[in-house]
Amino acid sequence: MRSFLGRRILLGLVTILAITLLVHTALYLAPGDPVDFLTAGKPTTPERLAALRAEYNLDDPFFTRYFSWLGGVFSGDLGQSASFNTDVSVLLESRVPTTLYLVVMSFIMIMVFGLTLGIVAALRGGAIDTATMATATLVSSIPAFVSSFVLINVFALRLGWFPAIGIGDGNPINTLWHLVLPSLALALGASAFVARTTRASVRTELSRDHVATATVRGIPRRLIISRHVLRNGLLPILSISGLILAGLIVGTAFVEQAFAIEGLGKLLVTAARQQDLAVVQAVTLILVVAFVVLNILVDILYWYLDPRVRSESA
Amino acid sequence: MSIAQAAALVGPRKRSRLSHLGFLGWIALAIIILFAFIAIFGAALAPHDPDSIDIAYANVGPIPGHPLGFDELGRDLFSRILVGARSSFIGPMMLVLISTVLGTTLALIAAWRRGWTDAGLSAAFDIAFAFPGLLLAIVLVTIFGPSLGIAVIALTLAYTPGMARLLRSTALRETGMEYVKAFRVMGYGDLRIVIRHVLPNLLPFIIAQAIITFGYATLDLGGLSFLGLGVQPPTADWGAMVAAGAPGLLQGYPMQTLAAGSCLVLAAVSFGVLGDRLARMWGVE
Repeated sequence: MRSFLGRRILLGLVTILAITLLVHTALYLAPGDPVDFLTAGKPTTPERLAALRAEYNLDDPFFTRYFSWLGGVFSGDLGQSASFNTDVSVLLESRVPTTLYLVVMSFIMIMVFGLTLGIVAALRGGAIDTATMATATLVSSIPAFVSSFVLINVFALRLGWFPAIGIGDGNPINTLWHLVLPSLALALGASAFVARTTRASVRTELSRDHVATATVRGIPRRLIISRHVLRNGLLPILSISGLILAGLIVGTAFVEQAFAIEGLGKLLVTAARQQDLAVVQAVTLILVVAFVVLNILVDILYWYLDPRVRSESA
Repeated sequence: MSIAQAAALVGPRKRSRLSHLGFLGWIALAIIILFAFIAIFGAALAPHDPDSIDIAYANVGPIPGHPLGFDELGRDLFSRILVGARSSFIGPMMLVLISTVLGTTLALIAAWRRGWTDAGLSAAFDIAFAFPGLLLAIVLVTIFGPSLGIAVIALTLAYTPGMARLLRSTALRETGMEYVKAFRVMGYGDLRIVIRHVLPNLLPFIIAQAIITFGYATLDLGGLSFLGLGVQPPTADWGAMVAAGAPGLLQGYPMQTLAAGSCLVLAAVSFGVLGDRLARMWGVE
């Protein structure tokens, strides 16, 4: 376990460093003077420019600059936002919890809808199977930025069941209420993906020899399903969860934009449009770290649940 | 071994018939042909000037001569949808072409050289494939400024590893076939075997995969335009129109957002279904 975990964490750190280095290289190679990004195109005095150059070490060589940024990150200094005129960490403080709520709610929905529909489709077969899979195929082609507006139009504007935009007044219950439609919009595509994967793997397990043997021995179907089919059949869901997490992390940008939610995703897009590099760099770092850490957790879970992985990497 | 014998090892090529496309496959193909037609001739087909603004008609619903009504600036919505097809498809087309060519080349190199080359390339594909491509696109846009070209380049970097990863396993199987060994024994050059003999056998798989990828590319580039990081207004583009119609939707005028969004979804579904049917028809699932 220790060597397995050590290797995964090392790989994760390398990934994070590689991404931050890539972002820095791109900035280094970018056309124009980086100071233009910091002033966001606004006219400034030469003294202010010189101060900015000094503050961001723009006259230092590439690696000095990179390591001073990295050092800043470790001491909690993510730099100054040029377009918001404030510390990046202040911008993040209120937005991280919002996005976290959204992603967690969405993840729960994906698992509940995806697993239920996939298992039912595989076990029942017939018309239910065909209908579920046809719906899943259609839904997986609807991007979050379109489904968001369909949901707003139907459930917020026509039926009035949920609020259309924003996250309300800060009361936690009210926030959850506001986040139902955004989470659903974020969950739809991935739910279809999970449903299809679950159905395929449960059906594969159903046709295995040991399931036939158990049936012949007269073991109740309920027990066969829960002990033999689902236990093995649900493992592949873990292996696609990396893709699902990547989708969720990026998906927040679209959903928060559509529902006017002040979270990390909307901040990232707003900052990108303003070419506010300090903010984009900080948010990218947070998202990549979240992505890497969650993937390591998934691998550990896999290691516990599947003895085959354990024997391979012991 | 003669060439005839070598050819015999390849086995009889499975002849595919278009009737195997099925009902849905034909519908998908028809929709794609229609969209392609609109993308090429949209500007000529548009009944009105897609850029002529008349605030008096802002958000007015369908009236005779204007089947979809008007957008938030009083421009004819139907004309903008027709004209928008071009910018909504030209990006995905470049993206799919470039990433398919690059991905195929990398996959063939990995499958042909095997050993360390394959191990190194595969590890790189795996890492790059797992990373969210849109995040990379947003970073590049921040640095180089929003434009369709930057969006295409960024997504090419994200799509190529996925393409290469999928093709590699098929290419590996193909390069391990008897006929390849036979050609090698006969002293044919590597490049000639790969390009003249291996590549044609992989083509059905590559084409089906490219068509499926086209669907995703339409949604991803449409999404970047929706975020304001791709095609820039006032150019008519379906993704940008979904965003432009959002304030209207909240006031009870959902037509622009829903019409542009439906076009994107219809295109994505059609490419997905057609690619899937072609793959099944050619037996390369």
